[in-house]
Amino acid sequence: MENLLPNLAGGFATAIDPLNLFYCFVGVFLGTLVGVLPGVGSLAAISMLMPLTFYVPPETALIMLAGIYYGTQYGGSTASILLNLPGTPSAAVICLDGYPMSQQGRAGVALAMTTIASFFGATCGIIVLTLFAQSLSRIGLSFTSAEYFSLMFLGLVASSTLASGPPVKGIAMVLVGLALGLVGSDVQTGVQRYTFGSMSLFDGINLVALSMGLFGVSEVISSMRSGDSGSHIGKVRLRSLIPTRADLKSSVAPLLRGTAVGAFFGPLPGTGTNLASFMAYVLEKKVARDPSRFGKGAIEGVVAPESANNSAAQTAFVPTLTLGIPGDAVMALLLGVLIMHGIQPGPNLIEAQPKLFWGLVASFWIGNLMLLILNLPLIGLWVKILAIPRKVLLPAILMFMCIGVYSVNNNAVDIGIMIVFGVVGYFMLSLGFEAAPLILGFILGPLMEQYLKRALLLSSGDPMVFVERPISCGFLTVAVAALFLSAVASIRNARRANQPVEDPAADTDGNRP
Amino acid sequence: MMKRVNRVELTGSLALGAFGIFYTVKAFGYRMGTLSEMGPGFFPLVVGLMITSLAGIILLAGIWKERDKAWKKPDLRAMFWTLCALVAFALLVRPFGIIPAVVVLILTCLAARSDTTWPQAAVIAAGLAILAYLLFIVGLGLNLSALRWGV
Repeated sequence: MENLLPNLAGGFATAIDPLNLFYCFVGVFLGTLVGVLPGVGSLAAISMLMPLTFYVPPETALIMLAGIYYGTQYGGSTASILLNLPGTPSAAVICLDGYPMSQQGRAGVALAMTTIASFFGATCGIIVLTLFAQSLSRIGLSFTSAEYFSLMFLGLVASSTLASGPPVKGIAMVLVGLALGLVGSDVQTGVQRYTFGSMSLFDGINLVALSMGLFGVSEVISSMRSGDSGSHIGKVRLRSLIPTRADLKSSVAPLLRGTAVGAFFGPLPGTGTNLASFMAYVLEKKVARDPSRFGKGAIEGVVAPESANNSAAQTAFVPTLTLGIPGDAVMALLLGVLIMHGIQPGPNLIEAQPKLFWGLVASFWIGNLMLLILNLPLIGLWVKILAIPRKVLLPAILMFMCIGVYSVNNNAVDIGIMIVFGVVGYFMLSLGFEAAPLILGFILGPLMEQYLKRALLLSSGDPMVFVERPISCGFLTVAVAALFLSAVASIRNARRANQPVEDPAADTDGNRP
Repeated sequence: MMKRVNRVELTGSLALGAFGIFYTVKAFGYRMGTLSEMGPGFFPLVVGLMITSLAGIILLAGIWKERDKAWKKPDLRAMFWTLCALVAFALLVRPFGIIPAVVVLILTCLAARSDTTWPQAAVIAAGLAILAYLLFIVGLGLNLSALRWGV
C-alpha cells in the first residue's frame, strides 16, 4: 500500500507511451464497436485480435485486449436502447427500461446516462482494483501448490455451475477444456500426449485457433442467414443527450448501488458482468418507492445495471492479476496471452512485472477517459455503425479471423484447427453446451496438473494434504457445497418441469413409441 | 402427449461420451506413475473418466426430458457455405497469396445469403480485399504475400 503512488506514477509512464496509447485506443474503439454490434461478443473480438499481440510487448498486448473487454461494456447498451437488441449479454437488462425510454423520445438521455454510469462504475472498479491488488497478492504468496489446486478447482466449479444453462453441461465443458489443454508435450517427461504425431500439436492446441473457432466461426455461422438490422434507426442529436436535472438527481443513488453490486460480483469466479447487471436491476426494483415504473422507461433501471457491469468488468481483473485465477472466459484468454508471452501468472506477477501490472491499471484510467469521449460526442458514429449490413460485416469478420490465424505461424494447419473447432462449437451451441467454460478449463488444465503433481510430491503421495491445510480445505468445502447445491437445484427444477406434463406412472413404462 | 427420446440430449451426451471413452483409452497408453510421482497418464485418465461419467449423467437426466423450447435447429446450409469459404481460404492462401484467398472466401460465404446479388458480392469482395491489403500488409507490415504464383 505504501508504494501505491510511485507505482501508479510508473504505471502512467508506461501507459502514456505512444505505442501503448495507440493500442489502448484501438482496444477501446474496437471494444465499443463489437459492443454496439449485436451478435459479435468480446470473446470473438479478443480472439480475433490475439494474433496481433505477438508483434508487441506483453503489456501493450494486454492493454489492448483489456480495452476491448471494458470497451464492450460501454457499447453494449447502445443497441439495447435503440433496437431492443442487447449488444452484449450483460446489456440485456438495459433493454427493459432503455428501449421504452427511446420510444418516449428519450434515447439521447438514456445513451448519455449509460455512458456516465459506465464511466462512474468503471472508475470505482479501478479504485477497488488498485487498493486491493497488492494485499491480495501478498496473501496469494503464502499459498502452496495445494491451495492453488483447490482454488482453481473452486474457480472451475463456480464458473461452470453459475454459468447460464444446466450445471452438468457446464462442468462437462470445463472437463473437455481440461482434456484439450493437456494436448502436447508433457512438461516433465516430454511425452507427446494426444498429438497423433502431428508437429502442429507438439506445443499444444493453438489458443488463437481454438478460441476463434469456438467463438468466432460458430457465431458467424449462426448469424450467417439472419436478416439485416438497423436500417430504421433515426439520428441521435447531440442536444438530445443532455439529461434533465430530475434525471441526474434520481440517478445518483442507483449509480452508487449499482457500482457496489458490480464491485462485489466482479471478483467472484463465474459471476462476471452478466450477473452483476442483473442483480443491480433486481435491487433497484426492490428499493424503489414505486416498482411499477420499471419496464416503462425508469432511468434507475438503466443507470444501475450499467454502472454495475462496468464496475464488475474492472474488478474482475483482481483475481486474474493477483492470483492468476481467471473468473470468466475473457480473463482466461488474457491469462492465455500472458502465458504465450512467457509470463507466469500468479501472485508474483505484481512484483515481477510491475511495468505490466501498473501500466495496465493506469491504462484503465486512460482507456475509460477515451471511452467517455468516444461515447458522448461521437455517439452518432456508433448509431451509424449499427446500420452496417450483415452481408458486409460477416464476411469481413471471417476474413479477419482467417488472416489472423494464418499470420500467427504462417501455417494453414491452424486454419484447419479453427475450422474443426468452429464446427464443434456450432454443434455444441445448438446442443445446449456453452463454449466459455471450455476455455477456462483449457487454460487452467495444464496449471492444475502441475499444482496437483507438486502438492502430492511434497506430501509424498498423501492426498490428505488438500484437506489438512485450512485454506485449501476451505476452498474445497465451498466448491463441494456449490456442487451439491446446484445438483439439488437442478433435480428440483427437473421435477417441477416434468410434473405438469406427465404423471409419474408414465415414466416406468409405455414411453417408447 | 407421448414421451419420446429427446434427440438433442441423446446426441449431445453420446458425442461427449465418445470423446470421453476415446480420451480415457488413449490415457492408458501413457505411464501412470504413483500418487507421489505421477506419470503423464494419470491426470488425463482422471479427466477422461470424469468426462465419460458426466456423459452418462447427462444421458440419464435428459433422455426423457421434453425438448427444450429454445432449441435452435442447426442451420446446415449456413454451416456448409461458411466451411467451404474457410477451407477455400486455407487451400488458396499459401500458393496464391492473401488477395485471391480473400476474394474466394467472401464470394463463397456470401453464397449462403439470399439477399446478395453477384455484382454486390463482387463489390464487397473487392472492397474487403483492398482493406485486407492496406491493413495487414501496408499498415501492420505482416510477412504475408498479397499475390503470388506457385508454392
